[in-house]
Amino acid sequence: MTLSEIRHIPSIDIEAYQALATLLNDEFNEIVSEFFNDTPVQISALCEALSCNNLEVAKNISHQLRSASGNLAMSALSKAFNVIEVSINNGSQLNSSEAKQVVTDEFERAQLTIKGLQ
Amino acid sequence: MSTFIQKPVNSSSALMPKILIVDDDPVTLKMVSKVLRDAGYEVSESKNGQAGLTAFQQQPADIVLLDVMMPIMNGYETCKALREYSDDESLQILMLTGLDDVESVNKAFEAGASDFITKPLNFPLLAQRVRYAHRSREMFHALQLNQERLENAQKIAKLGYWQFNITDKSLSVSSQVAKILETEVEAITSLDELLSHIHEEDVDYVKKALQSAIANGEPFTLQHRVVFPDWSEKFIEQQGEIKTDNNQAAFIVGTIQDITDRHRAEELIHFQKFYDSLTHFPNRRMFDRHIKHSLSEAEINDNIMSLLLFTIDKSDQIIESFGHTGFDMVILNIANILKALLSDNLSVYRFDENSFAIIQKELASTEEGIDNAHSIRTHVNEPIMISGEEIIPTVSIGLSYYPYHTGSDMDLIRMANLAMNESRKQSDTVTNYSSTMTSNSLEQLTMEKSIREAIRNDEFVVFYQPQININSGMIAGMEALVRWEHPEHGILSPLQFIPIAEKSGLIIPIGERVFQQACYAARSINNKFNLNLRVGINLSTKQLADPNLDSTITNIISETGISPQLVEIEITESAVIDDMEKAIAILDNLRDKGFKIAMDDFGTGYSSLSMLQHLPLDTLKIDRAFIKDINDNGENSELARAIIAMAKSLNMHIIAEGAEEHSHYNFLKQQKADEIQGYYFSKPLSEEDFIDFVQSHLEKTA
Repeated sequence: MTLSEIRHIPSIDIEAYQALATLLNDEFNEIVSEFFNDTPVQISALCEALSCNNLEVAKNISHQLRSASGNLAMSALSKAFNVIEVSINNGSQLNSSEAKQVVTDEFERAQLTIKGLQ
Repeated sequence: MSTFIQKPVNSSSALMPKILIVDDDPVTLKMVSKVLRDAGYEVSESKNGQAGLTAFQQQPADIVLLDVMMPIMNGYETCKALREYSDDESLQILMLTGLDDVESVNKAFEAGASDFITKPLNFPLLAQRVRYAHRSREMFHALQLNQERLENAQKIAKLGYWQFNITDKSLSVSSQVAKILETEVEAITSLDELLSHIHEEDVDYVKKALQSAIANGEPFTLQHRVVFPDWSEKFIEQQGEIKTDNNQAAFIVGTIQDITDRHRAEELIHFQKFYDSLTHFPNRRMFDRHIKHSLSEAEINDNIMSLLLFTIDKSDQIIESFGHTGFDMVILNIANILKALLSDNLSVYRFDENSFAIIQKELASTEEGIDNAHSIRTHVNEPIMISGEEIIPTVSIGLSYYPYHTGSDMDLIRMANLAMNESRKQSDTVTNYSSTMTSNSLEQLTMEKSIREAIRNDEFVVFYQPQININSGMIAGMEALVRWEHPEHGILSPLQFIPIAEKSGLIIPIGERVFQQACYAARSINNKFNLNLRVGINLSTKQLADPNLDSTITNIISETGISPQLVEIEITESAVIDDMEKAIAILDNLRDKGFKIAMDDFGTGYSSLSMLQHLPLDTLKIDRAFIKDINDNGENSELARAIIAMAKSLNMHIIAEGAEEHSHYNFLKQQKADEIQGYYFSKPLSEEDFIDFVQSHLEKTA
């Protein structure tokens, strides 16, 4: 999968999201809020690391955010971080600007979708 | 400051499993924590591997959920460190890893992970995955506990197990097998090595049993010995069974148990049950088994077999003189003599306290049995020293034979016993059984029973024989003589029942009855004729020794009202010979009460002049044996003459018994005997007839 293909993936796995909401109750909303609050800083750090070609830092951040967003049923965002992580691991060409844009877009899309769900 | 970190006690708890989550992603941490807390687990969190390791060291967890990619210390390193730190083999470490990360999964297992959970996490199933991990931990614990219990049980039971592969001949043994055989597990890798520990006398038996088990596919139980370099031994019990593969014997699976203690306890119990602790000869219980078996053998092989029973003579006297320890020394001495005689065909048993039994098999003849008996008697007669004193033990031996006497073990014992009792009468003799012994014995039993019934039925009556003053011709007295009015056989003489009554002790109630009847009769007759006739009443040896004698006689005198001066108690020489001092004391006591004392049947026993001098006697009754052969010419009268002279020198009253002829009367009158008693004047009479006799005699002499 490429970064450009990610926008075709549903931002949120609604079924999984609702199952989590049921499972974790009020705490789930708190976790989601915290994710939305904390993640922009990490996305900025990721973008900076990509700009500086600091791939090790970029890999670690994208790995952690892939995991976190994935666990929150944010399918498209998690996939975006995954493409970045795999690209770094594979040593393949990664368009930093595109990566930053896709991540930023998917983050916003996730926020909007979840707002709609809440 | 010390960097030493003390290992906390393992906190495993079945009620509240502890879970440590190590992940650098706060979102994952929170979500996993929430899910597992809600599922009832006690959860703690760490944000990286190093923190997780520290947290575990401070508070060990049952389950660790470990992310792989973390700063400072990654998941593999953390997993490895946890395994190195913890000795809890059941600790469950679940690695959280991506599905597409197969390499990291392999690395996780290599680092010691128990399982892995893929990301993104399936939270609804997460608690289940953790529950499985926890169950796995509990099963491990249960297995471990069972293993420990099994090992402890095997250790306590001294039980080891082994498995032999019949195809490739390989053998595996547990550590307990090696311990029992006092070697190392590595030293027992083949069946031959296992068998090499077995006692050489038992090896063939074990091999054959194993071969048979393999051939028949049947379970087996074996007991054998194993022997050690210092020649010590253990007793082993092996149990096993054959495991098949495609109907072919494939394995032998067996256990080895050290049963040395049990075996020795069983041996001790067996010894105490079947052997005499002093002589170590088999005891009566074992004898009873062997005699049956020996008889069967003799019967099958058509052999002569003898049972020899012997008893140590005067054992009571030996015990009185030297105590039981001294008697034990005599027994041991005899046992040593008998041990030298033991052979395949001669076995010795401690029959009872004083007796031994010897079974002699395959005898050439009864003479051989007798010869052996005489040989034993001769050897036993050798003097032995006890407490510094020399004694010469003697034995009385009785023998019975198969097939000549009986084919029954019980009868063989009874017959040897009768023969032994016959020997005892003379002591130090050997007697073969004869059929008369059985008839005598049966007669005695029947007679005893009849006497008891006669006492109950009051069948004993008293007859009286007059005693005539030889100078005046007047009746001076009468001797009370017991008779048995048998309902079937008529009047029986004392000779037919007194010996058995003496032997059985029944003489005491009979004697009491006679004493009472005689006193009543004498009182009655004296009152009737206004006379002072004396009544002579016999006291047997048993009566004289009866501790109740004094009170019995006193009561009868008081009850009948007769004067003791008119009662003459007649004793025999045998009644006093065994214990003169005691006899003198008893007779002195009776004399003090006014009774007269007569020595009956004088001359037939062991009496001597000195004995007569010491006894408190008033009257000497000369036995009929000295009177019956005296003829008109006074021939055969020397002994009677001497006895009368001796009695007169001691100022004793003389009554001659057995005067049946006129010649007897003449002789006794010449010799100045005081009274005569016998058929010359009257046979013994019933009380009624005696009264008639007195009446008639008084009329004649009036």
